Amino acid sequence: MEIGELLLNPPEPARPSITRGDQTINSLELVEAVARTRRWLTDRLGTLNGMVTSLESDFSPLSVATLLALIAEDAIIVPIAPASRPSREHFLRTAGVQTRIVIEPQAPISGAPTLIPASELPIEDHPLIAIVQRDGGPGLVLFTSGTTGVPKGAVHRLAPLLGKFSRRRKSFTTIGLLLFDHWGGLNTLFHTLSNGGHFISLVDRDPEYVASLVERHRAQLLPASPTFLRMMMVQGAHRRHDLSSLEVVSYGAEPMPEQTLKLLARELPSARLQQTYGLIEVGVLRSRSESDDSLWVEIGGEGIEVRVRDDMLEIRSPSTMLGYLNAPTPITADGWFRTGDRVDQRGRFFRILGRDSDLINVGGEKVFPAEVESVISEMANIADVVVSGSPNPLTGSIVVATVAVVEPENAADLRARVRKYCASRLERYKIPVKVSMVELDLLAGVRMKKVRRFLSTDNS
Amino acid sequence: MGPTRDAILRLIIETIDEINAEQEPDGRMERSVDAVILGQGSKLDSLGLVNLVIALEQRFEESFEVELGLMDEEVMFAEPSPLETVGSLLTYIEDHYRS
Repeated sequence: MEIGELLLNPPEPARPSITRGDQTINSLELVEAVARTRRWLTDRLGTLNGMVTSLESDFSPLSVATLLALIAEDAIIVPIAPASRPSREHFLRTAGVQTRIVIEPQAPISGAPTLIPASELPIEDHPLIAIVQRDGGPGLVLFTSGTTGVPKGAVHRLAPLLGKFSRRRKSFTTIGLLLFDHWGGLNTLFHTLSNGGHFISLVDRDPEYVASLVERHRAQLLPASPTFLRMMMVQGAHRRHDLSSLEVVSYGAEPMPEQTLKLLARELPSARLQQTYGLIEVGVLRSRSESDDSLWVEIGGEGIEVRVRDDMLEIRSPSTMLGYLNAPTPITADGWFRTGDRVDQRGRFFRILGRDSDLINVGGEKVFPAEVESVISEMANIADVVVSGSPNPLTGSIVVATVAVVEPENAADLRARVRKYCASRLERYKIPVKVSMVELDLLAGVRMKKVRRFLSTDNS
Repeated sequence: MGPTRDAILRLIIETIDEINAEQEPDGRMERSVDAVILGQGSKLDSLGLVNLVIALEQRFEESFEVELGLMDEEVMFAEPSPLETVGSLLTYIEDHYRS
């Protein structure tokens, strides 16, 4: 597809476009790099139209140029960020990736990606991938946690997701805190580039470092998670750096406690606090918070319809995914996506109450107990395990494993052993923070309590 | 009468060892009363902090059958925070036992 609009066509005069560490490239250099990378890729891979490629990197000048080159060449892109490495094989296999494209985030813009042919070629493409290929235009596969414990691959045609960026909005110097393989991160990138803004990519996500970058670049927009913002307040990083340049702090991905919001409004008086609502399945909707310290938010946007059914939010949008690669579709026959988010409604405004399932939201990252339970069940000396969420003032929730062992074992040793085993198989946020030991006959009770809690919220 | 200051410190250091064992070398905390837990120079991110505090609470429950209640909005956002350094945490826990 034409990507001119994504790069504020024409991108003159040259202005800073992407910064990572000491490397900054301007808008003209980015356009050149995209053209060079398109030639480089097609020289080696032939036509990219409809080819399923991974893009394994983090935000950097070269990875962004490559992403734009793949979009321009109508490839079907599977972004994989460093934090998703434990699930990489699953992502590659589920999406049927034909060529892996790997870019070290610190690689210079003059560098080139590494191409790795996927070890197993899929015999035939998944029907949803085939739809994207048939329709032409670029595609995107993003992964989200699944109830059964296996991450689900959401297949998108990219053009409808990118449509909203054709309208010019204010140009911001923006901190790229959200992740490379989540729509929140990509949305931030496209929003910034298409308006001629300056995207600041992060080497790590420590609040102290992020606050120092806001100060150094006089950043105006900080899209963040409530957990990050709480951590910044707890550490006091916002008091050690001048954050007065911030015009908008946006938050989403997990419920924001009212107390944290009030604290933020007090500590960052010059910034507008804006709630966003986005899902991997539908993209980020346009939203407007009722006020800085209000959790009520208006959501929608051009061509987007919202409704509430059984207290749950449902969305119909041209940018809804085609479906999941490896799970039943949550989309009704007439095109409504059932978000699973319970909401209160007051006129045009909604208040997001969170998921009505046993999903655990750890700092905006979603964890389904079944996935963690199946990993712990593989371990020696484990008779049974129940994984649940427990409220936490910093990360919203934490993952708790309640375990029955076969032979008696020291509690601290068991905790260390469970955490170590999980660390080798799961993303960091999925590892149980708390591991408790109970007798096997009591574990049934723990499991029942979970079910009862679910039923009681269901009937409330 | 609660455990001695030394016993509390030992338990904190054991917990730091437990958390350090899961970290990359450059993410490891110092094993001293001056080690920063929260704030400038901290080696811990939000998940690291939660892990440290909860492991500490679990060890206290296992060793002394006492609930510390550190994972609390009031404690986390207090100024100055008891979680500033290992030293301030040690003092906070001692006071906690006395009251």
